[in-house]
Amino acid sequence: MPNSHVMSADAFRTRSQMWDATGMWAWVLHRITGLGLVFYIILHTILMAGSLLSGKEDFDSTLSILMGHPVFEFLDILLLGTVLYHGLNGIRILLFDIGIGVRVRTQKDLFWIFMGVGAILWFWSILLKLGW
Amino acid sequence: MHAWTWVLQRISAVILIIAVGLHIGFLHFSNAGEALNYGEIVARLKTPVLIVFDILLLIFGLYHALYGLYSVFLDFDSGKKERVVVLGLLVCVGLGIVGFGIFGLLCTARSL
Amino acid sequence: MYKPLQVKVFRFNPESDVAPKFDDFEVPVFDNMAVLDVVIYIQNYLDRSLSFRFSCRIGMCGSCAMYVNGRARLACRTQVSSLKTRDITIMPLPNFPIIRDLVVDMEPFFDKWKKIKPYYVPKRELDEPVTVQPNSNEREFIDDMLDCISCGCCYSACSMVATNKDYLGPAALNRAYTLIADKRDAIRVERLKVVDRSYGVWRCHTQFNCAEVCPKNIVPTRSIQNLKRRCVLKKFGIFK
Repeated sequence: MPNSHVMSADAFRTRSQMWDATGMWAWVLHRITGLGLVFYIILHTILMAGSLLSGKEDFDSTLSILMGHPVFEFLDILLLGTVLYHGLNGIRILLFDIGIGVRVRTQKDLFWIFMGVGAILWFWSILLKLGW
Repeated sequence: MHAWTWVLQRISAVILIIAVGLHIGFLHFSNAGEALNYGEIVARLKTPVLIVFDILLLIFGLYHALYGLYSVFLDFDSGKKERVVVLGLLVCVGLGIVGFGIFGLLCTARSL
Repeated sequence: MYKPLQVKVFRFNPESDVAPKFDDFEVPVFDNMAVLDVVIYIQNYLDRSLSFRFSCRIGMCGSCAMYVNGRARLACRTQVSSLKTRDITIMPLPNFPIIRDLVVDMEPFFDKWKKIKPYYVPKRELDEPVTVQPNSNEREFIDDMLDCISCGCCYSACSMVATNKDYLGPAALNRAYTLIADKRDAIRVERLKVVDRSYGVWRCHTQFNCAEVCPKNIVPTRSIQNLKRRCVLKKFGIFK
């Protein structure tokens, strides 16, 4: 095998990450939020279907905890933030798929525009939830 | 195969943007702080449009999620056998959860 | 006039070293100094055993690609002043096996390049030459993408190349596109089949790392997105 004496580049793999690249961070967060949402959706489906099948009393008591307890209210806000990030960056990716914004500068601008929209929507929802 | 699954991922993405938005808006963030109760859910699910909506949300949501997981798996080195096994696992998990979810929805809709 | 540069250089000699290390050098600065000048100075006056590749020194051959201060760049086209610091760290390109010091093994890169059949194949049934006007839309579209000098910067910046050893990579996919988009070519469909795989276009997640580092300002992401669309259209029976 040619070059059998060469050292593999495996040891330096981490340095191929460009930590100053917006597109890279966008993708990393998209993946993290995606994994979080997969976990959530599986949990949510099983919990809801299970509670419904357990009957009225079980369902009502489960829901009153989930929709009343402050910890879950907080988690709900985090969930919304996760959904907003994944959804809005997802729209950005959909734009790339139809050929819009596939340029070095534009893709960054698009990212920040969507994050701005997301921040506004998120804060507005938090205010709504706090009852204002 | 990949072209089809990729397109379906994009289609499910568009559907989910609307459907999840509606779902969260009407069910997670409304009701003025009062918890939803069983009766309200039954009433909701008796409307055919809404139960179809919920079932579609479930199917597309799980497809999008599990295809995403498969995509993450493919991004790393894997052998042909491993790929088949993981794909099979994901399909089973998907069908199982979708099945369970639809079962739960339909039973509730039919309850007295 | 200016304070000297503090340069850390990655060193590894498989014949004598067990593990890689960094050597420190102090290099005087002159006007319009490029990173290539830095390593040439080190080799001439400080350490004759430093190994690196270069050839044209004007950004045309693609030989001198290195990882400088956190990014893959062409050493000859990177002005020291553009780094905005006196501390410079030079390493070999990531995602490649290392032969010695700053020299990497380009074999995996070119293996993937060959996989997409990177050469024009004329159609046999033509009686006269098919001309594509130089200022036509189709010509202009792929014109920029043809500037690739196969330096390997995009390949080393790509996260998918880092995690998946089979992924064809931005350079090969970009080259594939220039030929698939060429209506005169005879094996476009065959080439499309090669890229329409899990280790082909479908591994790209539009990070744009490749486009950020390309010294020729090519955006491989664009080519790959176009390829994805063609793969889908082909499945629907429309191949344009």
